[in-house]
Amino acid sequence: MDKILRIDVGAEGGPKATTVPIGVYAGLGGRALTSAIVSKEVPAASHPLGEENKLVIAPGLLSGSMAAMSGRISVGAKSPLTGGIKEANSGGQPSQVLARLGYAAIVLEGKPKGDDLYKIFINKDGVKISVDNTLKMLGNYDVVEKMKKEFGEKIACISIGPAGEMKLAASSVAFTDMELRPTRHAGRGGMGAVMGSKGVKVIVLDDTGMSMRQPKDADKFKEVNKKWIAGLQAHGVTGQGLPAYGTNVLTNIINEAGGYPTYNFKEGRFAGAAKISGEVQAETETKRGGLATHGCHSGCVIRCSGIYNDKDGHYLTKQPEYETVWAHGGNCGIDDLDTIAMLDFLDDNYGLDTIDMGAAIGVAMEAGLLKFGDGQGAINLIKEVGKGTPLGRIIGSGAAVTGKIFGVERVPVVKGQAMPAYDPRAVQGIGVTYATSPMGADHTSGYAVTSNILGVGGTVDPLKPEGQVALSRALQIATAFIDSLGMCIFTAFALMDQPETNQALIDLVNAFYGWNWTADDTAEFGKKVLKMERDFNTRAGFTKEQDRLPLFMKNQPLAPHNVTFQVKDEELDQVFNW
Amino acid sequence: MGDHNPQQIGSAPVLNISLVIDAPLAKELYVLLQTGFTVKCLVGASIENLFYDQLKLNPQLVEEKISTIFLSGKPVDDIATATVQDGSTLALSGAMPGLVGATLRRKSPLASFRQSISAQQTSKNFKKTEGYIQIKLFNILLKELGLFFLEMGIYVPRAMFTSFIAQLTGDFYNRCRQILVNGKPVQLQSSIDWFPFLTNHDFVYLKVQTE
Repeated sequence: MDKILRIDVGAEGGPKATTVPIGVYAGLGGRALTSAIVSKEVPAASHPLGEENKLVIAPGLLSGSMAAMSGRISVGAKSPLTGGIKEANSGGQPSQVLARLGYAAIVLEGKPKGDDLYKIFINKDGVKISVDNTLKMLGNYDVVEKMKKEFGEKIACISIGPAGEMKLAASSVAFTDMELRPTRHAGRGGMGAVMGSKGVKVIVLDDTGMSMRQPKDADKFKEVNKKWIAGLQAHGVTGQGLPAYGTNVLTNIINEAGGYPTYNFKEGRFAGAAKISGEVQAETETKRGGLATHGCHSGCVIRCSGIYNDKDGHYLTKQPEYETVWAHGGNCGIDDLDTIAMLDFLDDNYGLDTIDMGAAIGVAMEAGLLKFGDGQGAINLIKEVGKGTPLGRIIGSGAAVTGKIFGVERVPVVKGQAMPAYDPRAVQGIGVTYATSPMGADHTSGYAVTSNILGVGGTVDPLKPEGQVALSRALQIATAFIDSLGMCIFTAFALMDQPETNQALIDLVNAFYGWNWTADDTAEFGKKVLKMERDFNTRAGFTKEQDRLPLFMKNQPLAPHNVTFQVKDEELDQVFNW
Repeated sequence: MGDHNPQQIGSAPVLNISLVIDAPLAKELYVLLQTGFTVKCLVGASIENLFYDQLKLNPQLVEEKISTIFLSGKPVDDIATATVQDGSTLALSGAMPGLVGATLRRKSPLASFRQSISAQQTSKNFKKTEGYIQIKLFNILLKELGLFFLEMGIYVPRAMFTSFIAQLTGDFYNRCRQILVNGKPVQLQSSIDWFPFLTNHDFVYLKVQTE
């Protein structure tokens, strides 16, 4: 991974690919690399869909190696949804394949001269870019089927659906899974729209003839990788809870805590939660011949995904994640798993962020466009997005735009991005991260709980209110590091509880690169990433006023605990004062 | 439908149902356990007392598996000081993923994140009396404790039981060795067959016997 593939889509005579050495970006991967390139090369005032913006796709520092769980890939650009810097990451196969092909990143830059749609094929022999207008407005599933016919089944695809082509602000970039289905998505922030603005429909990767990336210290790497895997498998969450039930295991728990946003964040509990819980979902998948335990990329040992079949036993979609089940479920008052699974499929096929779609539909329901609980109505709305009708384009632009168009006061967004499945009035600490993350409301921005957490962000008494700010800071720092490795953030729980597993991760990086990093070094790395991102946002015009939750969080109590968000603005302003 | 008032059971008409089954069939009943069932116990007692002295749960199971506890919706950190009262709801879960999942855990280093909803320490001086509490079992604890509670006997509201039997298939009845209603064996093959028995009862006391 010592080279970057730059594709100027606006070059004379059509897109031109150039491979350059990684140069000043050496030692960076995943989120660190996407944010470094965007921060350094994209003018902060540029239009997100214009010539000056760049779409950066980067595997993690450990991707393509034997390191377990290292198959995440980052997508970065200036976001058309938030107006700030964005990194959205995804599972799937392309991270491993792109890394094995030797690329630290693909950078799409410039602006295409016409309306042609391009496909890009990358293998060991190089890069081929061709016009393929037969792909126009195809869903991700159909695009991948066409690529399989053309290039065979030993490929991995990165694609956009119609939403990306229409440059909708809530459009995603899809990545194929181990079954070559476009089920994994860099969903947040409208990265699909940026790819669409570059005129690129699909990037096909084939690593035939390439081998696994080799560590500097092979023996040490092998030894610590074993410890790393053993630690993940020994932990109750990564070894039992997630494999058995997937992330949707959280539905019952968050609902019980009264922090499950229901009816567009009106209430904190959903009466139908048990019907759409991870427990019922896993049972349903197993009974219908699907899978309740399945990895989203090779090298995954947690296997929190699954396969969801319809009532007749036919594939419908991958196992919907907790956030998806919530967004299209409780947030919209829908308690039917089959309806939610269909919405998940449609989102994946059209290339949409499931969180922003669920939030947008919830806002539309609040506006009276359809009733809470109207599952078929929700399906019809997503289909409107796929058709590109004016109503569909509004919904596909996300909850913030939908709220403005329909005149809704309670719009759950920060920096224009919809809040995920945890109400910050009940779990206030996550509100600190929602408010202050450079990415907008994002539960994964402050997710990585490492065993050295209390030492990362300063001295913290977790039982004191001010601890929330320090903890959010530490979590955001740790997450920026994990996101840069290509590591799945679900490893975080074993990292928190098992110091030896946390050390194994650092040892893994050191053995691979021949470094001598300590926990403090990883924290400095994370800080560096956040500083770049904050700096970009400042240059783009963001001030502390954007680091706020919407007002209703402060003045509308959330049942059943009847709590409001209590963290003061002055405290929020301290998050990045390290 | 899941949340009901357990205190009503003391004065409500209750139908006694026993199912004689092979242990694996108990899995079909787990939906009742995650939705919420009621048990009779000594209230005014700590959760610790309930677990160890009343339910006789294995301490290793409590410490290693029951990682997340909610008392009437409030995350519990200390089972020695959190007290169950008549009508309380106690939800039990394993360790959960996600930042918020980790936050809700007992004695989580991230406890400050949810301090506004955490269960507060209560007095140990309550008088212990008989009462009813609702219990919810989630995720890995269904496997660990599901059969235990079913064999002990659980109360569920009629509406919940009716909803439950409506989704049972013929396979369940074929695999069920015997059904007893108020101690007498009955032949039931579908949800309709239950209705004459359920009429005029507000709650069902369901007990499972395994062979």
